[in-house]
Amino acid sequence: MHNDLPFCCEGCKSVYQLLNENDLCTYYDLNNQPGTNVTEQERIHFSALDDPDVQKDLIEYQDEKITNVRFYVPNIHCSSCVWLLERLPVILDPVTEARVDFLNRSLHIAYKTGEIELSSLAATLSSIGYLPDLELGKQFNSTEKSKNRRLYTQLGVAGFTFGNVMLFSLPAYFDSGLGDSLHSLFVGLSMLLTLPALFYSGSDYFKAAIASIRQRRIIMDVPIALGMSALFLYSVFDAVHLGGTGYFDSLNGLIFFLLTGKVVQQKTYDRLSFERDFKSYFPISILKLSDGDEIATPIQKLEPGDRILIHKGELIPCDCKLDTNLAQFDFSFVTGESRAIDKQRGDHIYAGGRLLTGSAEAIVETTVDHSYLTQLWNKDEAEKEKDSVSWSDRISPYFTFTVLFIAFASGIYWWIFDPSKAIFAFTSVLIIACPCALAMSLPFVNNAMLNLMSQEGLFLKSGNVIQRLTEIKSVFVDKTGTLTLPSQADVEYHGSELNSIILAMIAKMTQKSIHPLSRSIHRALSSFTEQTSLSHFDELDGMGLVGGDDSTEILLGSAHLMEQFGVEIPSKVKNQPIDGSVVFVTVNNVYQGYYQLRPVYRPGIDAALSAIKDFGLKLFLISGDHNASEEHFKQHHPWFDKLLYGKHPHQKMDQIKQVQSTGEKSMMIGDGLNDAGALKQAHVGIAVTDDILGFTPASDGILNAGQLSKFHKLLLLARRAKLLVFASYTLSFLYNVVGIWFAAQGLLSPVISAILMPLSSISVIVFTTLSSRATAKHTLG
Amino acid sequence: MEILYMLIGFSLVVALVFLGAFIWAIRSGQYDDSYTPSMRMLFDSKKSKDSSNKNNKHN
Repeated sequence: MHNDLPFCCEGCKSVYQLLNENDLCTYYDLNNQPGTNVTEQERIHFSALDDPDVQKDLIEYQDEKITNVRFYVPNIHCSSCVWLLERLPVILDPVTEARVDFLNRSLHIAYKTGEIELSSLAATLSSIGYLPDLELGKQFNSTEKSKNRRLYTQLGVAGFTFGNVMLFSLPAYFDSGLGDSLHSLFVGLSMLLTLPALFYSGSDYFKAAIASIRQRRIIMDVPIALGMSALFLYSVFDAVHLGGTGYFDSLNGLIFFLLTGKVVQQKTYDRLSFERDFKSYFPISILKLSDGDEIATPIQKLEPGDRILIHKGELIPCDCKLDTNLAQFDFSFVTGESRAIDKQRGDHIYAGGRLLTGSAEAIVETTVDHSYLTQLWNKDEAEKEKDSVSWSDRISPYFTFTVLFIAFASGIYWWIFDPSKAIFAFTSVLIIACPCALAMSLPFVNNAMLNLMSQEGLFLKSGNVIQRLTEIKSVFVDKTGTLTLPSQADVEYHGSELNSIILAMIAKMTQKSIHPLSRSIHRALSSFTEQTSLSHFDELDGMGLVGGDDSTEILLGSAHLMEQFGVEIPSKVKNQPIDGSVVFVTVNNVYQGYYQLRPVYRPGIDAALSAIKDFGLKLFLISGDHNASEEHFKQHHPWFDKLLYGKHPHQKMDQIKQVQSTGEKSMMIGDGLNDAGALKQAHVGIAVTDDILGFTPASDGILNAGQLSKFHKLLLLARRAKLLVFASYTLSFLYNVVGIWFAAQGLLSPVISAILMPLSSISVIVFTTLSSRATAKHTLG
Repeated sequence: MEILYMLIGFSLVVALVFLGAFIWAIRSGQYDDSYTPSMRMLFDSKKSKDSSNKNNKHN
């Protein structure tokens, strides 16, 4: 309590105190529950931020007066965050300006050079609950920004010319006897205005068309470039030579609508990074022991032979040799092994494991970049181009040749029957065969679908992933953390009954330990709240818990612990292979029984898995875990074609490669670094996570773990999206048929063309948007 | 009808000025972040209160 206000924890209270001192309490008015729980503070060694190598990735500009720095702050999630962070100058004097980019979750800070250290800046941000994520921040890309700017400029110019040229064409439609000089003015201006539209706004289409022809491929840009050239050349000929108006309005409209398709396609999820460098999983620094001093060292600077100190809960930054008697690690994220692993002095420990027991010392064996699993995780490894040839690009050769065929056919027909119409018919067909609506179908459906899917918790990297989802034939699913809920277990007791006093004492004992097994047991026993007092308690690393009061002594732990205290475990229990983890219970040195802890599967996945089978896809389980629970699993989840256990990260990737060599495309669904290679190798890799903003391995899509039960619906939606795209193609074909019907007869006039072109484009936009929404509503319910 | 020449000329110039303004706006980064300004404009400005309180604190 502070100021008569209740707080849930010390963290929130200290944030309030800081805000109150600076009169920033409006923070709390802006939203219902701003801020986040500042839970167990990880030992952040901010001093590593004062290292110039680390700084150069963060500092955007620096001179003697001002320094501009950019932080990535994943915690930014509401308007209160924006409000507070932009008022950073109020809290810290040297800061002159702070600006948030909400969608990117980035914070730009300008401060007076030399008046504050980056480490204090980061520490202050952390103290108000906005810890910057320094590794992820490095992946910001500034070329994105300039690409977007260029596109917007092109769109603006095209829109400007489109509007004006349409206005100038109006008189010609109504044939209002303008007189020659005004007519020339209008036509001349139209032609003049078309030049920047064609050569600046439309230039990318020509470049792409030429490049693709060189590669002997015909992508969508080819018929587009063809159409634009035909339009322009014939219009100039018509205006200059024949005294007509040309088709400049249609041309400008074409360019404008095509560019809107591009703008829509450009949208990416900047707030999520799909290209995860494994280094963002690790802390920025660790304590190095040198001459008896503990120095916070950036992990990049660790050399083989260095001695490091790892605290409880911290990650091993690189492959090293353990130099402490006994330590226990959680490697589930890295290898998929769900049980805690015991290691002894001299054992080799891989980077990425989390220390569960007290502090441990280790000697570095490889640098961070050369750890055994690094090559699997490293995004710098040449990534094969995964994109499939898009549906648009697949039909464009057919479209192009058909149009050319019809154009030549009409030309030849008229050459025979009425030569004066031949050229006109030929070029008309080329002009009207608008690839515009065709080219717009895919980006608009993709964009609508990406948005709709993201509302359901599936964030895909690009529209091409939707296409690839419809191409897969088999699905590989990881177990630990993907199908199972991480850090939760199903607790079952076997043995002689324990009275409620004992159970209450066990509940108290397990509450004091952070070991995942303790936490699960505590959760199961939290209803036993009888008044008991523990006179003593001790956690023995790697073995278990000892505690009790004056009359009762309780032991909770592994077989090692029982051995240590000389307690006999009944042989039938010792010899029986038990599924899951086992925690033995002893009261007053008499064996009582054991707790069996098994993984809990996410609710609803069975419906999803069986539906995936119903789609005709093959389903495989691929896990780094041991197969102790295989029978139990087969019984409860019979949907899998094959169960593959004990797969190391490299083996997971190889398994997928093997299936791919038969020509079958597969999808991988996984959550941890142990899935990283498989996620990259598969045709579609989906990373599952309980925290979208946290770390996930590189993937093609990120799925909110709670939505895994709906995954089959999302797959169905992807298939329906394909139908919608082709329906939209059909719609645009119809327009083309009508247009070509006029054109081949030599009846095409600028008016008809100017009506058909925008009409087809707008109807495609409307159709795709509405039908996507309707389909999503129907599919997702 | 000769007045039309002048009118068209003027209207084109005006339109070009607006196109120029649009391009300037893009280049000065106004379109880089189109989302956060929508949040920012809903904040109340308690500027006078903030700065006067700070002054009081320093005294």
